[in-house]
Amino acid sequence: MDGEYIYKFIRESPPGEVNQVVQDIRALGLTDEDRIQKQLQLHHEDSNSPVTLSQDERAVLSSESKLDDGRYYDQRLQKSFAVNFETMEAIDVEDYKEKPIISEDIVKQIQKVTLDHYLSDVSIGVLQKDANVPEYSIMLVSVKYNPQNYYNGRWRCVCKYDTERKKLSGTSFIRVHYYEDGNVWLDAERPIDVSVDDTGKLSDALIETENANQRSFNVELSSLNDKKFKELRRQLPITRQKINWENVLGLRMRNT
Amino acid sequence: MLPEDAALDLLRRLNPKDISKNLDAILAVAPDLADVLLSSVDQPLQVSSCSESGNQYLLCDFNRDGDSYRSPWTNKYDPPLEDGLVSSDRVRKLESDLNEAMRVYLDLYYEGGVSSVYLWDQDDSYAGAVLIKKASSSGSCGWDSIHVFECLPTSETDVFDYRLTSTIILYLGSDQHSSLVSGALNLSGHLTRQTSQRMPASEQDGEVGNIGRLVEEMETRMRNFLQEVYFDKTRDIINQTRSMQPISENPDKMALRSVLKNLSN
Repeated sequence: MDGEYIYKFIRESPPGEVNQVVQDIRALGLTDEDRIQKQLQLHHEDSNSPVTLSQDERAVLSSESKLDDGRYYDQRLQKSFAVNFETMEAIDVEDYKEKPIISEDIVKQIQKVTLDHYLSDVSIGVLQKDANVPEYSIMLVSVKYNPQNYYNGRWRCVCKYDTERKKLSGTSFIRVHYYEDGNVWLDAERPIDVSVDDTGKLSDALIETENANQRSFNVELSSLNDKKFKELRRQLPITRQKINWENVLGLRMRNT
Repeated sequence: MLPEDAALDLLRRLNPKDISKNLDAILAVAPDLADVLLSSVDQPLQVSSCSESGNQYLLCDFNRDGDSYRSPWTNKYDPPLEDGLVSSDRVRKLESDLNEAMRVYLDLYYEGGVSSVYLWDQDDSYAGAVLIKKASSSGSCGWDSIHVFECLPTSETDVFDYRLTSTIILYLGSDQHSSLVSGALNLSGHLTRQTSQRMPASEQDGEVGNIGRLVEEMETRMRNFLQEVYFDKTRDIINQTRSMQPISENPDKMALRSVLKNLSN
């Protein structure tokens, strides 16, 4: 009984629900803990999930910030750590000085973006491979977990800022799961592709482009509502009245 | 946790666009759950053609006997069966009338699509399923209605208790068929509701009207509910993660914020 496909459900879990998915899989008799850990790791890297390092220190997970021994690093905090995937807490936190310190200017620009536009629980990750490489990887994640009301949502921004080419490129991702008396998923993404004259203009550029993306999501939702949804089923028949069921069979026989 | 509950919980959490694939994967590792899962998990309906009547009909567990499916138009199985499951004459007559009535309902509300009604005898009375399927011309959007009801006698003569459980499967998306590419949006899922109503029925037509009205009222309520969840609720949830207006210009949003969390390092 292989179950390979089932272990992959862990990676595909909706935001905030991966632990329940893991419980379900174990209850189905699939208890290969190595495979569970592997899929948990992939899920959290894909989701750029936050990990708590201390009371006011948080890091974001990514495949880019993974080390060979399975530990991760946070470049702003200059720390490396292992992760307890059940609790999303960092363990064995150590100093990590192998990567350059992220410039204060970049950090301030990003904090301006999140302070002014990211609600709920927001986490930030910034990476730079090498001091000689003029490119920063930026990850911003805002999650809204509300399982008591059967919904969870996430906005994730993943982009690269190239200071030499003066370009900001990447994607805004949204994912919503609603599950009261049903199961509804909204999954969408929009590109980020703008020029940024200098670091001082980074926050404005990112804010403007993500605002345009958010507007675009809203427009597409409205359009689906006004067009596709209406085309599937009318609210009322063209007569603007509900059906007269007493006459319905008579109607049919007349038409045949 | 029972494996059955774990399977149902999984299917309620994972992306509904993958429901058939995911259900197959679960049944591959837990084949003894087949009966319970296939009868309680709603999947998009498949369509078949009835060559004799020239009409289409929908496939589900309720018109299946082995590997054959029964056409509601001819009451015959395809592939043919010697002793396929059929209902009593009285129930078959009602089923036939309901199929005709629902075709009118389909025209008026859906302006296209396929409908099927399947009834079966149950103790002193009967039960049934009313199914509807409508897809957009591009195929990227679709609506499936699955209404399952019971008609139960009450202590009053000619008054019946109709109990209905309805699921609407709705998928909407941008017209790119492939998996999520940049610029694509996928919105899919299903919602379920239940109701019951006591209604009198002294002759057959009364019953057609009762069931028709029951389904019509439920679909009207559910269409509104689907609209609220799919469009208003999802947008609200996204707006709780990111704000287009700067938060400093909105004192309420500032108050909701946890300063500690956002000034990390």
